[in-house]
Order: sequence, then C-alpha cells, then structure tokens
Amino acid sequence: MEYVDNSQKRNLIWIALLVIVATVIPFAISSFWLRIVTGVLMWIGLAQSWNILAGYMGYVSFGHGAFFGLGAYVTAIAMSLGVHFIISALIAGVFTAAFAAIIGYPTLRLQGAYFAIATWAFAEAIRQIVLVLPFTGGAYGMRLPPMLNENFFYYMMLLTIIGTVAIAYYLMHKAKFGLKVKAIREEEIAANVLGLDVTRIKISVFALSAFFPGILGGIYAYWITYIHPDSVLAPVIADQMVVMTMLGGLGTIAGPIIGAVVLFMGNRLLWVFWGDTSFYLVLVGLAVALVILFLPSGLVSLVPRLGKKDKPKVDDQPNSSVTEHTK
Amino acid sequence: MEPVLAVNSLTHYFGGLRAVHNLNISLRQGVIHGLIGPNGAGKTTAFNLITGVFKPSQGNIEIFGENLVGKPSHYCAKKGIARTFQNLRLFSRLTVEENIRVVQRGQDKNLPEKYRIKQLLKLVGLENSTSNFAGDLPYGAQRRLEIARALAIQPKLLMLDEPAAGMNPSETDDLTRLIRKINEEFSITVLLIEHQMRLVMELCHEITVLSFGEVISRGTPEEIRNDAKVIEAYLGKGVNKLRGNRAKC
Repeated sequence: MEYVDNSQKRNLIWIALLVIVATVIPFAISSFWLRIVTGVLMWIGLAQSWNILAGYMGYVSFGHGAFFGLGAYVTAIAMSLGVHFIISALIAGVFTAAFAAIIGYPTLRLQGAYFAIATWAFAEAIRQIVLVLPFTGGAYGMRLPPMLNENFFYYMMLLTIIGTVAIAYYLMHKAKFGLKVKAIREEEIAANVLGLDVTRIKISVFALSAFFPGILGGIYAYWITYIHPDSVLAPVIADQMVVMTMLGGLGTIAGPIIGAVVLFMGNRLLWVFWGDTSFYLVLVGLAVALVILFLPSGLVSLVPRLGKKDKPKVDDQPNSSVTEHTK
Repeated sequence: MEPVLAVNSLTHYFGGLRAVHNLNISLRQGVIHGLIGPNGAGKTTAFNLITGVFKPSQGNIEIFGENLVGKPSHYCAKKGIARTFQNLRLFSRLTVEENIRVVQRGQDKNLPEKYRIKQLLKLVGLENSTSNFAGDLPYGAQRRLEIARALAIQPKLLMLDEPAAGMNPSETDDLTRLIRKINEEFSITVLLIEHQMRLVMELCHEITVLSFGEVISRGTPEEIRNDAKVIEAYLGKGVNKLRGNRAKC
C-alpha cells in the first residue's frame, strides 16, 4: 500500500510541476514558439478526444475532424451575432456534442470499418454542406474579429486541455463508466446481454469525444481569425488525430499526449527548417509503418510506467501467491 | 405458481431458413432444464431470442408474466435473465475482478454477501486470479468466469450455452456440482444447452429436444434416453436395426 501512496504522491508532484511550467511558459519563450506550443496543446486535446472514442471504446472514427470544423463555424457564427467568445465556444461544444449524439444514433450500430467509413462520409458531407450554406461564406470562409493576444489563446487552450485530459482520466480510469466503455470494446454483445445499456453508453462517449473538439475548434477559429472549409474541415485533421494517438499509444492517457507532441513538434520543426514541404507526410507514413511493425502499443510502451495504466494492478493481493505455495 | 420463463409458439426465420419453429418452453421456479439436440437444431438461436439478441418472427416470451418480445437485451437482463456464451465472450483485456465489477448493479460492498466479487470468484475457484487479464486464463477457467459474471447480475434465470464444451470428464463433474450448487444455494432457475450427456442426464430435471428447429421430444432424462425419435435425430434412421445386426455378429 505504501508503494501506491508514494507513486500517487509522486504523480501529483509531477502534475503540479507540469502545471507550474505550463503557466509560466508564455513569459519564458518568444511569441513565435508560443504559437507552436499553443498548437501542440490543441492537438493534445484533439488526439485525446479521439482516443476516448477509439482507444477506450474501440470505435474508430475518421470523421472527427468534422466536429472541430463545426465548432469553429458555430463559434464564428455566434460571434458574428455578437455573442461573447467564451459563451460562443461553449455553445460550439454543446452543439457538436448534440450533433454527435444525433448522428451517433444510426452510425454507432455499425462496427469496425463500416463505422469508420460512415463517419468519414459524414465529415465529407459536412464539408460540402458548409460550402453551400448561405451563412457560412462558402469557399471564402468566415472572418472573426481579431484579438492579438497570444497569451490569452495559450491559456484558453491550456485550460481546455487540462479539462479534456482530467475528464478522460477520471471517466476512463477511475469511474466505473470507463469499465463499461472498455467492456463494449471487448465484447459488445456480452455487455448488452449482461445488462449494460450499450446504445446509451456509446452515444454518451461519442458525444463526449465530440464536445472537446467543438470547443477547441472555437478557440482555434478565434485565434487564427479566419476559417474556411479547407482549413478546419479538411480530412487531414481527423487523420492527424488518428496518427497521433496510434503513434503515442491507443487507450492510454499518456499516448495521445506524447503522439501529439512528437508529431506536431516534428511538423513545425520541418516547417521552420525547410519551409512548406510535403516531406512531413512521408515522415508520418514512415512513423506509422514503424510503430505498427515494431511498437504496436505505441511510444508509451517504451516507458513501462506510463503504458501500464491499462494493465492490471499487481498490488491487489500482495501475498496470495506466496500463501498458495507455502500451503 | 407463475412460471419463471414462458416461451409460447416461438418461431424465427433467418431469411428463408426456419431456425426455430413453434417452440414452447415453460420453466417452473427452481428447475434445471436441458435444451439438447443435434448441431444446427436452433438451440443457440432460441437463447438469442430469449435474451433479446434477435427479435423473433413470431411468438411470445414472458418472464414472470411480463412480455419480453421487442425489448433490448439489457432490459431482459434487468428482468433477471443472465447467460453465458457457447464461444466465450469475456471482456478479455479487463481483469477477472473487473469482468465481474463492470456488470454488477451497484457497489460491491452494498450487495448481498454471496453476490460480491470475492464470494463469486471463490465459488468458481478463481479467487487467486483476480488481477489477471480474463483473456490470459486457461480455457476451463474462462468458462467458469463466464458463469461467475452471469451470476453477478443477480439473475432469476441463468442460461448456460454449452458450459462443458471442451472440458474433460473430471472438469465436467466439477461443473455439474457447480451448477447444482448455483441452482440450490442461489435458488436460480437454470436453462442449459449441452452436448455432454454425462452432465445433462445427471443434472437436468426435465429436457427438451430440438431437431431442425422443432421440438421432437420432452420429458425427464429417463424418458429422453429411451425415446426412439431422439436416438434417430442424433444417429439417423435405422440405427436400431444396425445395433441389432451388430448384436447378432
């Protein structure tokens, strides 16, 4: 038991340190790097949201970028109507969650590749609809009132990401809800026959995994001040969530964080040194192939302590095996 | 007394294939009822209909007089039906303990003593494997864990789909004792599909025999054992003649 207490204490200290570092970062680095770090934070949140759905429940969505884009558009429209930014972003989150619940009802009956295809098709449909709707600006996109305060956006992202990670950690690792979600991943029919209302659980998880991208899309829109279908509804957004999570480690809290940091920093460093280059996509492809071949559980499996989150605790019965042998 | 489970003229088609035809079963409180028949007779389909996995084409399913047709599986579970699966469906990457906890209704410490994780695992002899992944257990242990997991929802009716499949005779005897214990100590009615006659004949109070979706016989183990139609369904026509010939040789 003491060991558990100590490791928990150590974790708390680590988290406290991280939060302190995260809080002072804007004062320590140039605004150029601050923008990059803000981007890293955003991708941590997006990858973690996708991980809630795919890593813990086993439903691989290739349409999650649509929630990010919808969030951006809802925020832009709300702000053009004079709603305060924070309220707009919250509306965006609630809207995308509700939207996910509605499209989840029919699509979550599908399994495996069929679900992936359905979500991908749905995301494409959203992109096409946004192009023709009268109030989204079509291909010209929408402009938001500029706010030139990098620190503000950094802290907004930071808060949202802390919320995303904390909620994901609590629900999937501490609460019984997470067990139910994993039971669906493992054997959906058995979970249903043994009394779990799988439809309700699946829709809740889908809605939750769409809520954070909605908010993040809203913050992104206000931060960048200009959105158009190809910037916030491009398929590559969903693809990056997938790749980051797979690279870091599916179904762990640390995985999407590591994956997002590595990939996004890699992307930006390439950009800093070589400018706009599609070489990034080559590297991503290579990284995915290598991870699948040599590290199927992702980068987290290199650090045993982090990857262990989903594995059984050995401290449940400290002496059971010993007593068994002495008998 | 009202039957625990009443199935009336249950019929189910898969496209043009009639998998179950006009099945009637009525289970009194406390019996162990066997559902036997050759492969493809419709036994597992009947289980899937009763637990709401499929919606029957025709017929009635009632638990304690309440209609279950068209209700989702989790509703059937709430009404007291629990089951195991022919091809194991454990939550493989959850631990043994988590497999039970996830289906329990309410917190472990608030449940009646015998339905707590510790007691259930002790009952099936898995108390030393609590923190193993369910998928890492040996086959027989996985079968027993499925039974413990089904018990964890505190059912009134336990449906076992080939619980002894792949077990050796001594494991089968242990399982026979376990099912009897569950039937008696938990006062749970049991409906079971099984091919190992050793278990069926020893355990069941009454047996229904299915063949090609239809009930061909029904009765006590003794009656079933001597029913020519049952022997025919399993071994084919003319088998009695054959047996006679062999005796002559």
